[in-house]
Amino acid sequence: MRSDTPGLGRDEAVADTPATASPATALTDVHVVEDDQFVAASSRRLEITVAVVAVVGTVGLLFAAQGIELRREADPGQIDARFWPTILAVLGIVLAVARLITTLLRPADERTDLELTQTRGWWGLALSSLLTVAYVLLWSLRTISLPLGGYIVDFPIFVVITPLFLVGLLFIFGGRGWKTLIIFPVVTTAFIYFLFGELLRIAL
Amino acid sequence: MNGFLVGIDALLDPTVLVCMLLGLGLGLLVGAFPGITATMAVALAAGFTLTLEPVQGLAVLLTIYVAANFGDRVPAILINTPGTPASIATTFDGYPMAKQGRAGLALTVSAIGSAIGIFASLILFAAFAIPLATIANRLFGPAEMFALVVFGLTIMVSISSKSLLKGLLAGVLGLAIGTIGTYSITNDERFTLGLTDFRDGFSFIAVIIGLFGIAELLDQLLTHRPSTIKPISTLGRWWPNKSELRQIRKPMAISGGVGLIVGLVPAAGGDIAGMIGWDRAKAASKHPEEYGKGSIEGVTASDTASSATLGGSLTTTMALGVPGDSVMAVMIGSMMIWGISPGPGLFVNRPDLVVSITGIMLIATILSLGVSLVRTRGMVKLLDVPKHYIWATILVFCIIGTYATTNNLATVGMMLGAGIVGLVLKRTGFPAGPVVLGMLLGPLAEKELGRALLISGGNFGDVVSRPLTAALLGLALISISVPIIKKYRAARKSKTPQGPPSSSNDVAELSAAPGPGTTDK
Repeated sequence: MRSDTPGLGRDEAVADTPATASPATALTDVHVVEDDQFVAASSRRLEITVAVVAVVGTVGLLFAAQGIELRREADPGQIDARFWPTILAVLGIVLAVARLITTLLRPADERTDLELTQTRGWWGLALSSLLTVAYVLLWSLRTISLPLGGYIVDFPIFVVITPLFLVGLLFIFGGRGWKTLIIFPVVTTAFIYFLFGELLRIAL
Repeated sequence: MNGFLVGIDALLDPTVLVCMLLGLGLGLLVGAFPGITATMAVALAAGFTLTLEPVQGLAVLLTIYVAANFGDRVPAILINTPGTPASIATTFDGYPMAKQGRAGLALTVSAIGSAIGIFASLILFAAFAIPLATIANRLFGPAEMFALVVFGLTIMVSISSKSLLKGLLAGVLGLAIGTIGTYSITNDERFTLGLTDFRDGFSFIAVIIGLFGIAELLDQLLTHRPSTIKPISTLGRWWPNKSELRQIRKPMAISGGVGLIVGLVPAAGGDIAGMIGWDRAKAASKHPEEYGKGSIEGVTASDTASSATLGGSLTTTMALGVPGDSVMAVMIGSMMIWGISPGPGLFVNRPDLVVSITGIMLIATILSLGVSLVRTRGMVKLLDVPKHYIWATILVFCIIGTYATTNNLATVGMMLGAGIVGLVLKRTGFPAGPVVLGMLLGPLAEKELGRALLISGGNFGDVVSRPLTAALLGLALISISVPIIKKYRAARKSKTPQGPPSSSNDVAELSAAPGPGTTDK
């Protein structure tokens, strides 16, 4: 049964199942999710696409294996650098073709072990991925020059961008408030810097 | 000094205790947060244990392994969500008990069952690890080692995937990734694209952090929805009375036996043992009708069985070099960086490590039991920690932890790439376990096959016809055939009209074909 819980989108509605508590307990707030509503649907198209990608990938592996440059011929009985990748590629092609045939002839696999994706989940994924890439690229600069007391001082860029990265992530993930967006990033960065930079002597 | 004294001496170093306390905190935390598995935690911790001495590093990683087995029961019992896959079966009776106002009792019985399961498994490890390694060392040549690796891989494929073909393809993917880099025999470069960062192959730690940490995080991001599930707050009585203690003895013995056996099977983890142990204890119970409705026996059975796998997993990992489960696969990666190669030669050359490992696991279990019994009330509050804190912290620690392994940001890129691949694999039903195992064992398989072929003058028939090799390859074939036969039989059964299957059969089916989380403790 669907609930009309305010603030929840259509795909987030949950069922309110009253707890079957004994008289001795006061468990009136227990809600159980009807998981079936949030299970990913099986998809024949997805299965076929995946199988085709597997066939293409393994055929590509076979060509790549044959293209490995050998410095010298293997001794009698010795295997060269192409041997093992070629075996794997052939095995992979057999399996991938078998999978493709199976997906064409039989119903698509159930995906009951996977939850349904949410629209805002895709946004969160895209934004956090972009932020992460930007963070790693900026970190590769290593130092940043900042004015301090009339001088220009070089700081490890890590200590500047990590709290900003955390603020961005927390905001994207739904965190709000000064404790979440100021205190937590600063304390976490300080802890990481102390643990990795000072204690483990890793050049951050 | 003999091995025993050397092993004990290594444990007396005060830093080992500090490392264990760190591991204890991390293990209990990750266990208590649903979605963060012990594999993920051990992979993350591997990043900052690389600079430690081997025994100190093992103290952190093994204590996480043990403590997560205690922490993961809390959400399983209180919010019907397993903290890690190893506590799936705990939800069968733990949550119904909590709904009846007996959460405290369920948590206590669960902790006791887990501790007894681990203690029993440690006896197995201490008694059999060296004899098994000695026998393997004497009997296993290159051909046998190759066959053993194939057997380990097929077992993981058959257990961890609903689709056998997908599992096998995942294994091939892992093996193919393992070929990237310089071929050690001839120094030929393979699939490096001319990049120096690829010459040493993909960083194992980066790939596992990506596959188990980032992929899981991204999947949670994609599927998260506001939940109205609230942890149960009325915990009721904590300590079992004499009659309840008597009641749990039998299921504890039965499921403990199941866990010990399952633990010895390469790649089979606590999730499978928990379900089979619960099922067997139910079959032997005087009150099977109470199972699944809040039975104290059910909680005991599932948790004793899943915890009793730890020693067995450790035995196959350390003595044979074939990971007992995915946590152990990660552990092998870390140990190799410390210069320790698990396998038949390890305990023959370093018997002291058996003592050190047993000691660490023993102390970790006692500490975890103590904390679980005393602090479980506090751990309940952890379930209220908002997701945005957890996700942001995990992502940052994945990045920094990976960077710490090589001091190279290219490794971080590798890890993020592996995370995206891991998400695609997860959403398309490909298990990550065989990828990791393939990547880890692929180079070993290639090396041993190469040596075996060299010895036999390039005659493959001679390699596979050696008795032990043939036996192991036969077992590998059986492990792949069994799920196919089971599926075929199930399909035939469903076509012939008959009554509803018993719950016992349901569990057997479930344990034969679990979801992607399996073997990921």
